[in-house]
Amino acid sequence: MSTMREIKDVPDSEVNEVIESFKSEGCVAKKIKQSNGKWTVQATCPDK
Amino acid sequence: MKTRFFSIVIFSLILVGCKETKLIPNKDYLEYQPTEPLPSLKVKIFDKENIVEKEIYWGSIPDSLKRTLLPLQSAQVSIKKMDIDGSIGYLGAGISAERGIYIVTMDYIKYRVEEVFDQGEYIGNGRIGVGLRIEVKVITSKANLNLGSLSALGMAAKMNNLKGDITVDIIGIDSEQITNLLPLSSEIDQTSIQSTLQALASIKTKLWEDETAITPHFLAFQQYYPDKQDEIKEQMLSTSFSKTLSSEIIIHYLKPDGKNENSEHKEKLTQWMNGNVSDSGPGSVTMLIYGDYESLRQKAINDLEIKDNP
Repeated sequence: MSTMREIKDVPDSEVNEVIESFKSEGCVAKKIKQSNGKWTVQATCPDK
Repeated sequence: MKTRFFSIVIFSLILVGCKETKLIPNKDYLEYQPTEPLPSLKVKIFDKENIVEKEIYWGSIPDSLKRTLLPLQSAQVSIKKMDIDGSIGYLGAGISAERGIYIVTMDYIKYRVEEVFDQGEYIGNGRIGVGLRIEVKVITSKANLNLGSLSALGMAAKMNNLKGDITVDIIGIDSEQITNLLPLSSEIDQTSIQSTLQALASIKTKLWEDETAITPHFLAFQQYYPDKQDEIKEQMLSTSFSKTLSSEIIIHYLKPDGKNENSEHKEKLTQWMNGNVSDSGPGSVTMLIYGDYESLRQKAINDLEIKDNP
């Protein structure tokens, strides 16, 4: 089983840093554009 | 009293049954919908001293209080059918079935209900808790089978009217004894069903033991209006971005030179997470650093005596 995590309202300048941080923990991360111009980062992370 | 309750729970898992077959798309289904267990970090409690509601971290309270904060218990059965085109829908009130592929989910959960509002309007609720989940995936070779009870599934399998697998998830209830009791996934037959129910009955009693760790998860939800599942999940699970000085301090602690991870510091932070946060799996450090968890970051900095020099 995997765990889904999400951080919303991520500014454009920070979104890649957040994605890279999730990736460094072994998660698969993607970004979704919000209507307000910010991003939602969704990560699917493996169990321990 | 507990024995009586557990007997009722097991009977309800065994005996639930019904009549008609109607497929309802997930987005339109207004009843109980189980979801993949997802970590819950905070819980709202009433502060009697200051007479205010406040949010606290599940990881900061003892297991006995976590049990108290999960006052509801329920046994639920839901059945999904997969169509040829791959779409999945719930069977409505009915649980007899046409030939096809079905996913039967049977939950016993100890939980609390969190109401969800969208711009002030109630749109549904999420259920945060711990529990046991039996998932049976079956392919039926005959119409009008009762898929709503484990005993009926076992009988149908015995008569070669269906085949499939049974899996058991123990969600947020953990101890060495529970791990030893957990039944392995197996092909569905009457023997595997019987051994599964026996194991679950034993595990339920462990829920109350002091050495059992309780880790509440988002387990299920119920929409009040169609097509609100995404909003409910989002409000239940997501956190807003919050990168503050405390985030920078922890980032610097993990990567003092800005590039390479300090393995000793990473190990210390991971151990701290294990002891202070209900969910400390992969991705949790990123949530801590970039999510709206300022007070938790401050606690990590204080406990680990991290110096303020990002």
